[in-house]
Amino acid sequence: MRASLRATLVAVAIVASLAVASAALAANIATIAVSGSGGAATIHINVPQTTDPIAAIVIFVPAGYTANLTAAPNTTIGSVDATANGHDVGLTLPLTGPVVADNPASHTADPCSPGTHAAVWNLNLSVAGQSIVLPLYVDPTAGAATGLGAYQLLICLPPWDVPVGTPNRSFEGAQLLDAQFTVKGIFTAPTSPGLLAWHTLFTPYNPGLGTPNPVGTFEARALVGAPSLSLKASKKNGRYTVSGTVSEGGVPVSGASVAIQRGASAKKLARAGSATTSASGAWSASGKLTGKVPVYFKATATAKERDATAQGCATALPATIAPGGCTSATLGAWTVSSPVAKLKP
Amino acid sequence: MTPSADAGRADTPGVTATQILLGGTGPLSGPESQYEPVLTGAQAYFSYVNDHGGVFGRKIVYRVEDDSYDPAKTVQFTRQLVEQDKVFAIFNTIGTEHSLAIRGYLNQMQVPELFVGSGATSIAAQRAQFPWTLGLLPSFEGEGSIYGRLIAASRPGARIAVLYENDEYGMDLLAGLKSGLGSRAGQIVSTASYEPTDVTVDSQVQQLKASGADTFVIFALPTQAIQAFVSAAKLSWKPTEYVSSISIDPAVMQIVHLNAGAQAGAGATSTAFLHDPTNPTQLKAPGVLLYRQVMKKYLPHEDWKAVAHLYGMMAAYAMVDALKHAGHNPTRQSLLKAATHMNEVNPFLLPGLKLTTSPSNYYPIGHTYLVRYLHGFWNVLGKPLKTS
Repeated sequence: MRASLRATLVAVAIVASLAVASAALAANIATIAVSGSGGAATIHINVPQTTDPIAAIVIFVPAGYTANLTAAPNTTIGSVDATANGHDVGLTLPLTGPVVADNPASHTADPCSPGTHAAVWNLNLSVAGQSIVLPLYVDPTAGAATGLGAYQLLICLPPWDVPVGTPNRSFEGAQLLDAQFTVKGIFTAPTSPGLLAWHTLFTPYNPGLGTPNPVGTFEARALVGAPSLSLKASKKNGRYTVSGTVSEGGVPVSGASVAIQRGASAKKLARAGSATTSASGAWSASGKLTGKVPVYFKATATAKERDATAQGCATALPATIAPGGCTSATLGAWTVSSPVAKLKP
Repeated sequence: MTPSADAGRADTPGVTATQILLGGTGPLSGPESQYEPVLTGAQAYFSYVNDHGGVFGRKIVYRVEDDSYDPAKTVQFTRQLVEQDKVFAIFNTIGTEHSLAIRGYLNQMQVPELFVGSGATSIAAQRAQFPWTLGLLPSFEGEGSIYGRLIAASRPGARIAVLYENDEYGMDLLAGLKSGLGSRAGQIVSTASYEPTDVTVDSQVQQLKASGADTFVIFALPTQAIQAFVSAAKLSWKPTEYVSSISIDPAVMQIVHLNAGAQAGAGATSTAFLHDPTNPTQLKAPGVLLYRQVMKKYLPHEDWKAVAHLYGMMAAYAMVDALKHAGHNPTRQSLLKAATHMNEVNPFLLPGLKLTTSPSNYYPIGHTYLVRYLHGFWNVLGKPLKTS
């Protein structure tokens, strides 16, 4: 655990007894969703405009994940898309750019998190040639933080709601509202079943003051499980039926869209229908068979980000860590395809 | 060709056997740092040229100082570049006020002030008094005149409202608009100006809408142009819109749409002389391919969609051309002569446009195209139009 985070957690522990839920704290909320495929991991953070300015975000990568932190400095490892409210110009701004590995030795004196880090990734957020570079500090967890995950990713944000001219005020009074960044070839997910929680701590500023408010630290959670889609095909009276189940981390998925393809060969498939999963994750579809040739089927299920706060936040972190409680839990988006099934004539 | 060992005569500051030292100023930080890519784009193109042998074997070193878009700092840093760093020439100064602030000094010192990022009338028109200062942008007045002629011809009954920046840039454009409208200049029913320091232009747009105008001419820098489009849309004002060419970076409409919906700004008219690297119809143009190649190698983590980078490369291309024509043993005098006798096909300009100068023509880019924003891009229309 890095010194600064350790200090934050200690401070949080000290004030835990004061962690009464004030009205201001109750208003603070954020979401995080994580998705990934093909060696890429996408982390999506959303902070409503009404939430107090955020000073720091610490994302804990669940135990079981491994991370390759050996990217050489100046290597592009991904991309970032974000929107920010530019308070000074009264406009919402789209920001985009690469995620680039930096030399950790260049960041040992960063006020956000001084010391040596396993990796530092720069999120380059640009619009019309103007850039904001947000360093993201990556480290294996240590000590008490190992209970939250295997690695931690730390981002510090400057305050936007302090007077113009205040040192360290955000550029153009920019308030980050939404950021989605993807890194490739970094994280490898565990194969164990079940939903894994990416605990994420948001520490706000005291509004208008630009000083961190550790007592206001709250949690948002991303829930991630490997999606699975089964497919079986049968025929009866000149009609076929395809069916299966969709699950995520072994848990049935309700309301997922399933697109069905069929064709005369496994490599030449065309869209043939769709279905939606039931509460038990089951789906089925049927159609007419023509000709006496084999028919091949394949299904692809997709799910968007979904709110799962009721179940996902049922067990909150101790108030010593997140005095503001668990404010959201979000299941990540994914797409999964079934193996091809063959129906003999 | 290799310069002789004593090349770069002792009385020619900034030129040695191995390098040519250029100086420049611009906003590398602060609210106007949106223009920084003009400097880094030029820097990247010089790196590309250096990696391909430089200019007659000399590497170009471009020393840029951050003036934070403050003319007082422009003066301070320019003096430092000339007197302490001994630069050969000042190149690519950003901002009309900033260029004018150093013009007297540089002309007194007989230091070339080349390819200033301005199309102000005062720079080109006062060439007899300040021969060492040469702009690059098309004439602001000429651009305004194009809109005036277009409106007079295509919408003779237009009731015109104008938002303009309260400085030489905005007033040149407004003067050009009136001149282009000719006898129809009286159809300008309302004008409103803003100061570059204004936080918003909402009240001006409200006032312009209240005039009953059906035509909205926006002579503004990108931030205020975005605010103007957004403000008009939020007021449910749907005039025919025109916007000055300095504000047609692809990000401008992207931000407008994010704030006011996809229909805001649709159909707006402007002018363009540069390639747009995001426009699908221009992706295979040699200038765009070269631009992407240079960006990939020298600015791999920068925003290649920002047209300001491409503008910087266009300026640097012109500078390299001038340096080549200044001879193997260039002097400030020979550089000025080369810069005022240009006839260049610049790959970063739209096809059909050339960069030409003469001792009596200090507007290097004398033509431009009309463009209209439709289907997510600024589409090039018709033939080049004269701006000066």
